[in-house]
Amino acid sequence: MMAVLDNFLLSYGNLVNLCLLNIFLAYGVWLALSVNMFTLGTGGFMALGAYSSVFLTMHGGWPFSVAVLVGGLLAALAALAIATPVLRLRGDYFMLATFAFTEVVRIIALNWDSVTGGAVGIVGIPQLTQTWQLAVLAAGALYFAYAVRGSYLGRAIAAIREDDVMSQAMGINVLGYRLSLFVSSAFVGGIAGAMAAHLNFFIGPSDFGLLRSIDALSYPILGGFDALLGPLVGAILTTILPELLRFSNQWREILMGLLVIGVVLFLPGGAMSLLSFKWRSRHRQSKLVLPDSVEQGAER
Amino acid sequence: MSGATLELYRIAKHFQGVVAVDSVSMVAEAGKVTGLIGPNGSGKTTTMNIVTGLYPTDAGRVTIDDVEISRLLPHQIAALGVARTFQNIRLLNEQTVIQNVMLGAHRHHGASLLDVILRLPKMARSERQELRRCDDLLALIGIRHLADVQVGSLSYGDRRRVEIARALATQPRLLLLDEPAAGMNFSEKQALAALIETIQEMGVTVLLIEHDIDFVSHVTDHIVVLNFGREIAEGTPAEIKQMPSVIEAYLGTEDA
Repeated sequence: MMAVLDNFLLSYGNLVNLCLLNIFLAYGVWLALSVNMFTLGTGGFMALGAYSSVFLTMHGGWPFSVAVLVGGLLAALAALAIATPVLRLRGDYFMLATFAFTEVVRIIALNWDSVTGGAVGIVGIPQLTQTWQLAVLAAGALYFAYAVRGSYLGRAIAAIREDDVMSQAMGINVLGYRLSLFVSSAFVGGIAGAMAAHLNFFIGPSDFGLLRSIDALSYPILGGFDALLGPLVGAILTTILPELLRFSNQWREILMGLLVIGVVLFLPGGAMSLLSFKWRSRHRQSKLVLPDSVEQGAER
Repeated sequence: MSGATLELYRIAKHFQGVVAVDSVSMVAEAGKVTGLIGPNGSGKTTTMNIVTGLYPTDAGRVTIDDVEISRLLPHQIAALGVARTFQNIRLLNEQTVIQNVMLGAHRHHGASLLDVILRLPKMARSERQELRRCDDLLALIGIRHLADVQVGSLSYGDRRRVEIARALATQPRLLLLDEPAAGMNFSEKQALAALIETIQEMGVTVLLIEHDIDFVSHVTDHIVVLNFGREIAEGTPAEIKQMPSVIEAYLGTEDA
């Protein structure tokens, strides 16, 4: 047990960084998820941000902040480029198309040796990412989600998720919303990729594949994407739990898998529904105290 | 609000060989209530979906005050002042009445993304303004006391009213009602007829799609009859009820 604790403390600083990075990423995925776009493109967008920013800082001598911004913009541009065919698709087909994008980026990274180092990857990346930068990004993403949700834009997004045909009839530009949310989500992915690359000494093509995309998608789903803090809770849980389960490497992934299945089966609203359950039931009751208005409506 | 004239000229819609709308031409005059009736499957709802841009028309054109809208997207058509309700009520059941109605006010919010992110006064101002407008609409329609009730717990008739309130919140020049009286009892239908009259008095053009010929006759004196995707008759309720083609469409012929 002591060994576990020691181990945990040793990697604590790293873990905080990872948590902050994943919170930021989780809100990026939430942007797409908020209108039912289950994107598996996150890995691809992260790779674009990571490789381009590393190229700029290591070979171009560009300032870190500019390189990160370019990484994000490049990912956003890629999202814009694939948007026309991809945004026509819904559900499973959308997932497959975004997964294909991530695969294409991975295969390019695997073969473009001169820029990406091929299968070996890039070693010796300067560690420019600082904890406070990640904290600012995570807080900014959280605030953005908070501000949008509490406005008429958030109401429109919620309506699109429920019923896009009706939303269009209300004058909401559904395609415009889907496009901007998809592109913004890619932008966040690109920035997160650039920050992640400069957090480690090394990046390789397998760092940003399907697994990365699924992980990112699972943050808001496990935390609950209906709740403002859902993506944050999901990101922290999914980042910390594997570390806590590190005492048994064989059991680690099995336990994580069981946890995911458990949440999906028993907590469809994500981990946040554990917290909001009490509040909600009280809320419902307070509605039931005023049945006269409902009855009046029924009589008419 | 001032009403707009809707004109359909030979619109058509085929679904993989099935002719939903063959060729329909009609006019809904500004500020009046026009009834569009016909038996099941005669193309009423498809016609409505073409007007609101849900389906592109295969042929012909649709104009609003002589502006062609046949090639526009649904939200662009809505922005020109065309609002609708749905045959199978489409409300957000988890949300309250006022939240649903506020969705209709979406395009009238003046606040930009920057106003929203920085919480500039413009956002609060436009939110307050739209909330007041929607609240007035609820009062007009007589469901103000239900403002904070979840839509899912409302009666059928009240849900129809919420949908109409939401459509009016878009400040339409043309309102399309898709079978608003379906499933309503007698007193609910009477209340609905009074509401449609109120809407007409507001100056909004109304196109009323109905199955129930008696209800339409009660609300309007100009009716267009569809059958098999074509308009087969047009006129006042009294005229229409005399026409053999209409009687045949509704009741079938003796030797059929």
